[in-house]
Amino acid sequence: MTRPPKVLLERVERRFGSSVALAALDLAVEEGEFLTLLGPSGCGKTTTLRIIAGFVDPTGGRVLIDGREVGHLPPNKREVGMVFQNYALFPHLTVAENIAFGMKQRGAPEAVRRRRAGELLDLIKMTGMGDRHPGELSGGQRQRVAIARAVAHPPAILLMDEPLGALDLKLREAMQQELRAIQKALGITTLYVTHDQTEAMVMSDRIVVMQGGRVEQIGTPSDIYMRPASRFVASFVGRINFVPLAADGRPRGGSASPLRLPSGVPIGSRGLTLGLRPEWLRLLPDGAAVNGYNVLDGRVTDSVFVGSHVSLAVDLGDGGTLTVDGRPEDALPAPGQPVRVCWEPERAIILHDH
Amino acid sequence: MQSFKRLMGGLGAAAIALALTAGTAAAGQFDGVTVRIGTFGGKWRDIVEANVAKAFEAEGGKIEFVLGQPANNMAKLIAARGQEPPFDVLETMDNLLPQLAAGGFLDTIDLTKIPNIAKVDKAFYDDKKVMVWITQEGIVYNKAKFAEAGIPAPTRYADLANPKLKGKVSLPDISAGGAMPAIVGMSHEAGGGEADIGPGLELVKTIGPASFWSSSSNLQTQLASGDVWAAAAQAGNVQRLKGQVDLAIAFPPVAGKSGVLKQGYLVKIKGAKNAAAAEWIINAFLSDQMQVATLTAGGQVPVSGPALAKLRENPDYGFLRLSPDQLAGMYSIDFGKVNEAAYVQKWNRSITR
Amino acid sequence: MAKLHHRTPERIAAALVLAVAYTVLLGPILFVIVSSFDYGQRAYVVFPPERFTLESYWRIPDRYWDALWNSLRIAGLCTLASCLIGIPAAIGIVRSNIPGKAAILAVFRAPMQIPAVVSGVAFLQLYYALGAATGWYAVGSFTGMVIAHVFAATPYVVGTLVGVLQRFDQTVEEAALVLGASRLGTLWQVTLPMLKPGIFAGALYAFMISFSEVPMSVFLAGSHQVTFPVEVFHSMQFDFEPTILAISTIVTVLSLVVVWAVQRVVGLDKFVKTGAAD
Repeated sequence: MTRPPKVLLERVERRFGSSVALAALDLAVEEGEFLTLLGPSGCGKTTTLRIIAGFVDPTGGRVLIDGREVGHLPPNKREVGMVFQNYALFPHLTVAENIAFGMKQRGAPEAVRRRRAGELLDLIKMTGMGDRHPGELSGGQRQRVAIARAVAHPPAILLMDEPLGALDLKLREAMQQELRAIQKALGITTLYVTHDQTEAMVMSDRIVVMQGGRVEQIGTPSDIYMRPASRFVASFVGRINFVPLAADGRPRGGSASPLRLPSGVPIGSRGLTLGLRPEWLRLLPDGAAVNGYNVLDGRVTDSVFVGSHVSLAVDLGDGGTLTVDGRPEDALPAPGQPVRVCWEPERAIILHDH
Repeated sequence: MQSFKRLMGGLGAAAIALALTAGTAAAGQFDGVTVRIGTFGGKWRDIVEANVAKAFEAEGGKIEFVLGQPANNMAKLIAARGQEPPFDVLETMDNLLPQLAAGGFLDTIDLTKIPNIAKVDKAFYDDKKVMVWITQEGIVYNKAKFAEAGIPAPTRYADLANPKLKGKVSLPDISAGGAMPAIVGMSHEAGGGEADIGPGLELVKTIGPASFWSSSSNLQTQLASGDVWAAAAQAGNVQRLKGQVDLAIAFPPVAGKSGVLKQGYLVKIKGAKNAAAAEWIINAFLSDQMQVATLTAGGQVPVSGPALAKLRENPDYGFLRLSPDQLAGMYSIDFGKVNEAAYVQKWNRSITR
Repeated sequence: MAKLHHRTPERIAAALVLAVAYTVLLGPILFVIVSSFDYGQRAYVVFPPERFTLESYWRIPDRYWDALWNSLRIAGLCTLASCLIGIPAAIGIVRSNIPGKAAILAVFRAPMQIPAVVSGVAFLQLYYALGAATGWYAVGSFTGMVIAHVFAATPYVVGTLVGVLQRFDQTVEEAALVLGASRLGTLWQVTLPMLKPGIFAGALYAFMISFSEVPMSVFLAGSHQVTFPVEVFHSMQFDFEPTILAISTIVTVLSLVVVWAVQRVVGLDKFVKTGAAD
């Protein structure tokens, strides 16, 4: 009963001269899902989007939409919708004309266009604003119009290129919810590009983490966070401490006793690296007894209040530093105090060094 | 029967009409001839149209105007070198004649075909050029203001340096039409001449005028408002401001003569298509009608004897020199010794503005 | 629409600056208009006028009307031709990847750097040379005048549009393409309408350059066609007549009406508000 993916990229490659923007990318976007391409700038996420839209020709591989190869088709024949970071609304047309633009290109009659624009204006909570010009709208309103315009003639897939990048934080958070709600309401397959990991976590069904033109990991937000496939993913998504272990299980370069690993993880001859999220770590007074927990001793060097938690830096004495999240309501050690950092052995990310 | 009569009557009328038109057509000695005159625009063109072109049209011909300042029209002539010239007859000023002659643009005029030439002083024409008007250049001044301030009427350019005239004198800018006569006149007065305008420029600095006028309308506005009491300029200003301010003109001595003449000429251009008509046109410019209109409508002094005599009777023109003797007593610039480019350079160097 | 709060001294200062600016800008025009209603001494401008009469208007000679009509036709054709050459040129210069774009742009801008008098003489000689070769003389002809004016005006169309195009956000065109518009449809429905203020500005430039051109036109005017400013120039050179003030007033009023009308039709205000896709 598996349906074919809505969009399928097979070994898609894009080179600009000698530099590789995209290397043999395989990607399947399933019907109705919200898939996010996440990565730092230059990772190839925008190139991927533009290849699907038809603005960039791949130098190798195949692009299929609804099982049909579209490599030879120009953007206007691909049935994709696209939302740009700068909105790219038509300033000389009204909001309603903007929304109806795609339908007009396909010959939809005036009455149909009018009705559909009205429905979409209701959906984006801009009822009755169809006669305004984009110049008269706020940033958030422009963004909603851009989304309505992209989905008006239902596209096979909605592509969004950092659509919230130009908004301030508060508005961005509100728009994330709203966008997700619109996407769900329409059930439209969406490929979303962002460099903001929080945004990706909040909105996506699945996340594709990219770096240097390659896919690092594809998974649900919790997969990506809890079980990152690489050191890059682990550090790009969320905050993390790395503790490299020697073959005998001791932290490398330190004098601590061997650490316990999650069950079923063998330690290789060349050791491995433990990934510890700051919120998984607990602080105990110096010399406190711990049972069944891994422990590292250190000294607090810094303490920063960030509201939801207090971020403490603990110097392990061997050159390593751990970031630990403390609850503000607890009595937390002041900088200079010796502390013990402990955590449940099962709550750790195992990264094998390659 | 009735209709036949009417038909015959109609035919008769038609025949008469035909004969009449044929008759007038036959009378024109320039049927289908179009002569192009390079001349000034504006009002002057209207005067030429009314007093020369009309008469030419009566002879079956047609006049076309190629408008522009003489220097401008000369540029057109140079551009067309080796091809059909842009006009047959050119109205030009004395300062351009040496260049036109050197460029080989001047055709020989058949003076025997210009009966009106007999009315003109022999000094004013030869077989390459015929003078058709002049302007009389000197010092235009405001009689009332001079009397009020107790300043005697000027007799020499140097009189403009009178401290009582400080801020009230205007001299022509080097670009103005009146620049050449004023600079040459002042140079002669100060001990120089066409070949040496240094003393003239020194005199300009001594006078230290309040302004340098660049066009006659610019000067006339200043004279009319009383901002300027005296200016080195032509006599025509007196006539044009009559009724507004009471102006007079003084002609300072220049190289043994008095006042300077600026001269307008007609020349026939070599290669002209309608050469035969050129002489007829020049003759028409010298007709009494045109010559009188030259002054009454155009503000320029004519050159033909009868016109001058007629205008002398009019007291309105008493400020002008209109007798042949008086005209002969005015100084004509020797353009053979004038180097306009050098004048401009010297002017720019020594007259700081 | 935030309400603007100004303290009174600032407001007075602003009003004063504005008043001075407008006086400087409009003063000469008002001077001409007011003076045109006094017909009397014909040799100079009377200001302030000593009486009110429309005589200057009745006496406007035909040659001014002929020249004005001729100038309007020349400027109109020149505007059209400059846009037909300038708009594609600007698009080509900004959008294409052809090598030597800077050089091509420099060539298109060159006419602005050549003194117009020099261009005038050059055209005169070119036309004579062309005439000798082909037998068709453009000197003094309507066509010859239009060609020269197009030469002078096109750089302004190109310059204006290159500026607009360089600031033009091309993702708007991508948006149109993705929405199903063809390349041509995008050009027609999106690019050109968005360039409209720039095209309008360039066309207005071209019209004004042509309509007020004197230095070249003085050489290229013919016996049958003289442009309006050249006619006025010739008249002023020979003598001053009050009818010049009258016809100038008419032309001024006409220009204001035309700019106002075009602005209404083109709807510049809409674009000013939108500021073209920021």
